[in-house]
Amino acid sequence: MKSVILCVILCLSLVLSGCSAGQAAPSATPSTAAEIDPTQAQSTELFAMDTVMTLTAYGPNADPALQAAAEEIRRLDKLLSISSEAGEILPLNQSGQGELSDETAALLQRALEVSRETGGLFDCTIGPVMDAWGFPTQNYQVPEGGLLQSLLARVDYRQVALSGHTVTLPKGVEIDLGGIAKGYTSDQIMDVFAQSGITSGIVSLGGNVQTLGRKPDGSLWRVGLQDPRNPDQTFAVVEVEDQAVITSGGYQRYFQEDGVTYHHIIDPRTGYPADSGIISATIVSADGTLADALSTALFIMGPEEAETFWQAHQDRFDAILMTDSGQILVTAGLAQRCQITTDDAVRVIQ
Amino acid sequence: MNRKFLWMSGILLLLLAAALFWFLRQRGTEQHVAIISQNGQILRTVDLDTITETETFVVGEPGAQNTIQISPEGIGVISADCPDQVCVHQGLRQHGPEPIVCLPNGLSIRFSATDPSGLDAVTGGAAH
Repeated sequence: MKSVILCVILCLSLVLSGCSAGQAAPSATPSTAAEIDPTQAQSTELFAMDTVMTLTAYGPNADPALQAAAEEIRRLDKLLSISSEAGEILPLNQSGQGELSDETAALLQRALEVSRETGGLFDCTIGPVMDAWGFPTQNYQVPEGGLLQSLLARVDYRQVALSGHTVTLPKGVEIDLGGIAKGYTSDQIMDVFAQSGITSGIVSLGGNVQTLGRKPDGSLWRVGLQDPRNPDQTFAVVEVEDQAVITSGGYQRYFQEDGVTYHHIIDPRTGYPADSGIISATIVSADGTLADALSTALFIMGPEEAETFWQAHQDRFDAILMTDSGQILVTAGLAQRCQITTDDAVRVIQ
Repeated sequence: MNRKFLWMSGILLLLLAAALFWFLRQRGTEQHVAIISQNGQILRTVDLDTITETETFVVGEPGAQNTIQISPEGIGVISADCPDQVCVHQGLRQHGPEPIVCLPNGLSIRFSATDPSGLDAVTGGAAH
């Protein structure tokens, strides 16, 4: 009987202290952010780059920092948009040749590098195929196979000739930096925050999350990963500081025709929505630009190739992948900072 | 046997009371307020904790309309004339951290209450 009473006391202690089984313990490591008054949080919400963005900064400079970040977003939206007359991409695609600014040339260079590293699974020339499916305009349709094949001839990053600031495109080839622009933008916001004296902040650009420092209480940021099978729920929580957490999945932007679901992540090899066996690919990296591009590439790769790719580039990013059989793959770098909140089978990639 | 049964019943009741106390305490710490905005303008602020009946209403102009439902289960968009229906897929909710959004119609529903699991943000399948 004594053991029963002891057990009850222990249970009561747990319940009354509000402990939640499975909840990750907050980090004990202090940081300078701990000195920030958490009540000095400021948030703003804006629509840009075809998504809604939520920005939060802490500290006495939060308000001017958010204003500066919003200006930066509007500037980059105009600069990098595929449809902005005032930007650099639309004129380039229309004329097939152009001189880019330092910034746009550097971003295109990065896009081409990731395209090369991923064997073209991330491809910044995929635009014409996306147009045929109607994803940019939301006038959805299933293109005919013949049309897709002719459009695929125009999809190949190796056809983009970038020399210094000068770009030359063969006829019909177009550049679309949409697969990398939001990641680059969240990188830039972190710089704007830092230059404004912010040491603690978090942004979500339509689900592309990036963090600056730690939370004001010194603990790590807790980012949930939406469950592709039930988007109202999360299947994992990852704890980060100074990192981006960016996910590609086919469950947010899609349409259905004749009972078939077509999502927005197109495999450049086939022209059809990727069907690799991965239904959610999350990248965690200090480099938001890289994370944005790789989330797409790993989604298209499939689990085996993604595992090999991570093993070759593990110093640059970590990943959490969910397969269509319900298995969750977590790279070793995240094993101590990732909590799976479902009953799915988990395997750590070494 | 009877004495053991009484002990076990008492323990069970004690546990239930503690669980109820914990639930009420958690519920009482955070107010569930939803802020409905369209194109940057706040249309309505709803205290979800006071909702006892289901209410449905339409926001926006013809061609850019969303039907919003408020019920004791939460708030959400139940129909919309946007092509992608992303807002409808987000279901009924009571808390954040992410807002319910209809991009084509410039609609957002933000929550004052954070996620009960203490999340600061949620990453979804938006990247392409």
